[in-house]
Amino acid sequence: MHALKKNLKRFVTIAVVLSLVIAIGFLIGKSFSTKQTTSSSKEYSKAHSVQPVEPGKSDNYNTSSLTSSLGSRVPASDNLDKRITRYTDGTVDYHPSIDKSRMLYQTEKLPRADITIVSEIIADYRKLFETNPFGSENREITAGLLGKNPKNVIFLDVNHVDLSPEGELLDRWGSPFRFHPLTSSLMEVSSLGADRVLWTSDDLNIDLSEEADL
Amino acid sequence: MKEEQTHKISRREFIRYGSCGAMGIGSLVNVIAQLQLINSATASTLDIGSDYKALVCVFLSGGCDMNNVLIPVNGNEQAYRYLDQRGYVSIPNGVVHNNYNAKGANETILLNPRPALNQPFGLHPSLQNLANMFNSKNAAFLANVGTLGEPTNPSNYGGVSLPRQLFSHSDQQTEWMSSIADQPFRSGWGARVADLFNDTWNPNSPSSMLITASGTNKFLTGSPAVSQYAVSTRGATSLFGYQKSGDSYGKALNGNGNYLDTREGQRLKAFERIMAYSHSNIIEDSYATVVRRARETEGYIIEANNSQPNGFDLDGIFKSFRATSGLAEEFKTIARLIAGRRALGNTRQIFFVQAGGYDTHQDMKADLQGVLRNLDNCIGAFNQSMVELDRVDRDFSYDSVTSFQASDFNRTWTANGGVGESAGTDHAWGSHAFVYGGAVKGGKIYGEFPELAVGGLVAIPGDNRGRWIPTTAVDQYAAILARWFGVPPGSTEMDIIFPNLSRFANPFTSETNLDFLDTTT
Repeated sequence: MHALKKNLKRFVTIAVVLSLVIAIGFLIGKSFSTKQTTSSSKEYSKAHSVQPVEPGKSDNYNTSSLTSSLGSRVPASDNLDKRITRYTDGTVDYHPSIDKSRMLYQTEKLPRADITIVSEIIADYRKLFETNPFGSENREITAGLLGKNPKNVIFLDVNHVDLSPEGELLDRWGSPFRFHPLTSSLMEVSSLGADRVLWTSDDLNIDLSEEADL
Repeated sequence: MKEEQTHKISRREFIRYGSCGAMGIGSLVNVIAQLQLINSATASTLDIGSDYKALVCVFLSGGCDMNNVLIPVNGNEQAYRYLDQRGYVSIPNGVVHNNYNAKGANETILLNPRPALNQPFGLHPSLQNLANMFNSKNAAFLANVGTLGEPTNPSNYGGVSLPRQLFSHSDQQTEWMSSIADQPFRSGWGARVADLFNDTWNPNSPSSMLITASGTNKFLTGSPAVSQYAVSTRGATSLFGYQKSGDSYGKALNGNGNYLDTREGQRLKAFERIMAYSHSNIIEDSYATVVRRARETEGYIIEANNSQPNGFDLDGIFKSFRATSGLAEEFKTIARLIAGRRALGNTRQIFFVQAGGYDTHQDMKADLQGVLRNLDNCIGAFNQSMVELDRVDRDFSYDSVTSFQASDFNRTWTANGGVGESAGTDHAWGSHAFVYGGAVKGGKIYGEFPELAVGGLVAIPGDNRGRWIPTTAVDQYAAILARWFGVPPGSTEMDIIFPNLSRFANPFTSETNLDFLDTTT
């Protein structure tokens, strides 16, 4: 009887210790879950579709290749940060910028507001990558904002912004925005305006050349 | 009111003339002067003999459209495509094109003989003096050169590291000046040459080996041991607020260099005493050291300006070339310092001059014509001044000064959306560069001249604007210049100055076709 009692006591002790270990393990696992699932997302991404893209390392800029897969993405289960949504294909929506992109083309606002919005989205890109999107041509910049960047981050709502078949971000009149990279932290954005002709009086831009001090 | 104006100095000027900018020290440090030094023994000249070489970097900021500088003309298999694809921004080159040159006019200046690939080329019509130099074999072009992190071509584009912030003005300027395209800026290659060789070449020199006529720049930024010195178009850059009747310090100092009992004299005296203190803080002490060096150098600069050979009429030469702009004054300052080089005491000297206005997104044809004409007048006058100096100064050789041109990048082959005269071109990559001087094996185009075509052999894959991937790296271009200057090829020093050079084909072999300088001069 005494031996049975002793064994039972030992069993309970082991069970308690095991429970504690499991509980602690669960807690530790929970606290590092972001890191773990991030890396598992990366692994998933590596094994499946979207690969992180180094700036300038793709010549495929047309709209369909940039956006075709974006509609069928499946959110990952580890979306703890409300500013972003991770997807199982490795792409990441950056909502502060995507929300800004939804403010484009509002007819009740002055056209210049669109220049400011695009500039702010590029500034968001700089916050994440500490440099402007790669390139000087519209389709290079747009590709960078649509996920062709080292972390596959998407800054534009493809269901709202207008894109040309060549993958260029368009202004409210249907012309590609123009981008002028001055420094790694300054990018001028301009629009051809209502007449859709470059270098006419209705062109819209924010001149940063003095700020660049080139 | 007038006095207040003399104290005014814009932020841009403040930075521009701050030769101590590399250390974050402003222009006043550079420009402070002390006439006691200027008027004293420093004014003596030093014997540097005839062993003298100078490199002059001519930087065209904004990204010069070199596609309109070196132009395929009638008889060149790329001539029609030039008109056809450049469209509104093309220059009539002797080929008939229904839209852009219906009469087949040729406005270019023909280069003679056929300088590359047995094909005829012409220069932009504003570049008559450069064409003359080229045709007399004192100037050459290097084709399709640019910033590269490692050898890059359309096949491996996307699989190799590209220059940091390719297509951005300031970053590309920086990488041209550093030659290290894949690393953050630390120093310019001109400064690295000076850091390693100043003590060897200029052991007794009292003045800086690095002189800029266009303000502080990254090409000459390196270790504090050899800091760049900024000169103004009047020579030494003097402190504002003390000038009187053409005398930079007339309000503060008398003819003997003693302080006057004036407000300005007291102020200058107080400032110089403060600068004479030693400091325990290393930054403060560095500041004071630079001040003292600047004071000394200013004296030598003034002396060099005043030590011009008899019969050397620099003003007359520049006037005859209609070189009267601010840029011309900068070139003239450099020419004057070369003529008065004995006062500086350096057997090797690196100069820097910079011209703006090349970011021609709009009105490209008109704007480029203007800036190139100004540039051409300046380089023509400068080149002639070196020829004249060779004639009047028996210790000087025309072969001892080599000028080389650089710019942020080339511009797109196709025009942007502007219509007619308003059209411009945008940021691109691989460019052409010119060199001139007596040591140049002129009359040729070196390197590999690119196929000028959207989707061509060296175009960025998938690109629809015509941006060439460079076939020669800045590192290779600069290494040839450095070798001529005295840096031994294959040496440890060459590797330190150009750490990425070994990634590229050896520029010192005939295969690379980069032998544009005569190293025996």
